[in-house]
Amino acid sequence: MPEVIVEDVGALNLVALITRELINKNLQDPNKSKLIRHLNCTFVLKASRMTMTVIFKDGEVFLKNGAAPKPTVYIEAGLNDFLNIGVGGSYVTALITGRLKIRGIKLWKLLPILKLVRI
Amino acid sequence: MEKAELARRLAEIIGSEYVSGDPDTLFIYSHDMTENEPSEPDLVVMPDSVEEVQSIVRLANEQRIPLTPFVAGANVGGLAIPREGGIVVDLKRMKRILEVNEDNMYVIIEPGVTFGHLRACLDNEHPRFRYAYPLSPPYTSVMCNALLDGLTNLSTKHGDMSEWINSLEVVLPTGEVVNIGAAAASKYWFGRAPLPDLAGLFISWQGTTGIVTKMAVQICPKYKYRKRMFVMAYDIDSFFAFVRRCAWTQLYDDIAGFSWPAAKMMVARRVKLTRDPDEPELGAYLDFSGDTKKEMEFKEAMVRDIIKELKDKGIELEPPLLVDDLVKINPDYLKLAEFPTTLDFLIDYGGGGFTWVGSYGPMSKSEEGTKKLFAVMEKYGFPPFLVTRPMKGAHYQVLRFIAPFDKSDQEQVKKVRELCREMAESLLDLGFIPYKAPPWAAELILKRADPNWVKLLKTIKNTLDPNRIMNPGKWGL
Repeated sequence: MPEVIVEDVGALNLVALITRELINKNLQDPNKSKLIRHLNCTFVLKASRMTMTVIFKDGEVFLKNGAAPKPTVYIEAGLNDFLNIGVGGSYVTALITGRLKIRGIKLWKLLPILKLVRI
Repeated sequence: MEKAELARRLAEIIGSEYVSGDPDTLFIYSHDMTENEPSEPDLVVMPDSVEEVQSIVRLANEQRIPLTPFVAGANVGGLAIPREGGIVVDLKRMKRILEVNEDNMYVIIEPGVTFGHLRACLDNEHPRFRYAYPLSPPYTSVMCNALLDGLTNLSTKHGDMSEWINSLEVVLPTGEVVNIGAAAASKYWFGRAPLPDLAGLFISWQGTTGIVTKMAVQICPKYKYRKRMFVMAYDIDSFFAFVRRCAWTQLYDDIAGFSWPAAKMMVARRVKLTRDPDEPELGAYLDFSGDTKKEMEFKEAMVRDIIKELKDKGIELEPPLLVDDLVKINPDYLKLAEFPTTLDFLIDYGGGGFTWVGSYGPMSKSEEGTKKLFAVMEKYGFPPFLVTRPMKGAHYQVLRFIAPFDKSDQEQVKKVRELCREMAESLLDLGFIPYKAPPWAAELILKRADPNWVKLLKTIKNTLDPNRIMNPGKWGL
């Protein structure tokens, strides 16, 4: 099974650590792990003050702290909303109420990424 | 008395299968997880009754042989290391829960009853009741935690665990058995008042005044609903402002706090950690319960109101993160919320060393203490790992600084010793007092203590234990 590649786990911030766990959990599911094969994009998440970048490239997933410049998609949410969406809460409601902000991509194009960062 | 002869006499009391002088066994009892110097006993015995304990104590007293009481050996302060050899009295076999008195809300237990036992007993057979449980493994002793002023997940409301002791049965160093508390004058072991409180002769004395063979501890009602959440703070001042404000409501069962290495160590499984400057520095953990949904809604709303109230004063806190959500991502998060708990995330590293300096002290000095001690930990190259909690309705605060280390690396052991000493000195400077004090920390306390208090301590010890057989070397006694 593929796993998220991280340079130094001990340096990841809390949001990055949680995201790593969410993605790794999903990658154990063959149907979801298939999604990364053709996914080439950079996804930046800012949850409260913390930022992290996930890079999907040629079937591999890389994760690090901080925001990569010019990401394919940029998502912003509060830490609690990030967690709530991560465990299955409605991202549509969060989007409508402004608690979740997405830039750089159409929502339907975001779906494969969302499938990998939610359980 | 020759060791072989002593072993023979002890075997007559408890049977030869419960007496051991085997080098492998003695090695096990010679050390704990900490940096404290190991020291081997001459023999280990495992009695099964108060009468057997009495006979062992009488023999040891007659022969002037040191006795060290022991259950799990998990007190992480060298307290059960037999400093002067002699006999380790392992009380594990005395593990009976003798009475669960629902009407008067107490249980009578023996020393070997563990948090795992007690919790299973109450959860399965007395589901309307609960005891308080610590951030410790399930195999640790309920009685030792209470006798050593330990803390648990109900300490925010009720204080350290000695407050839960109603009555005791003790074998004195001279072999007499005495009942303490209500047990001295009533068939119900309901409390310690209104008699002169002699329980203090055995609490926090680290087994230097006798062997407690029975204890009644309070249990309390378990409510229908329970909720747990984390509230993250970006700096030490904001964290304590929130914790103090919540504690003053006196609504919550537990308000504990963890610094950033705790959660990261659990998930990253690393000792070498770095903090992202944008990351919260501390997290408060709130645990509350109630009999009705309305009560729960009120308590939860109160948390959110406090966050808002503090935000209006410029103190930034994250909205609550529900433990139930975190657990869906990684069940390990429950290890910071559901006690007793396994400490694998703290101790399963190369070398397996684990130590801490814990202290009780004035709430007003919590911020200063935390900042000062974090700087000390960082100076020695350790992540600033703190577990903290307001105690007894916010009348005092516990600050416990934790350091996992490699016990096989002598340089690191030396560094940990220096770290612990400097942390204890700093805490004492601020007015905090180390609890479950290892001998080196007890020495620091005694140096600063009122000389007449020290004199009284020694007088009491000499009166109760004239031949100095009980756990010698602890408290400088």
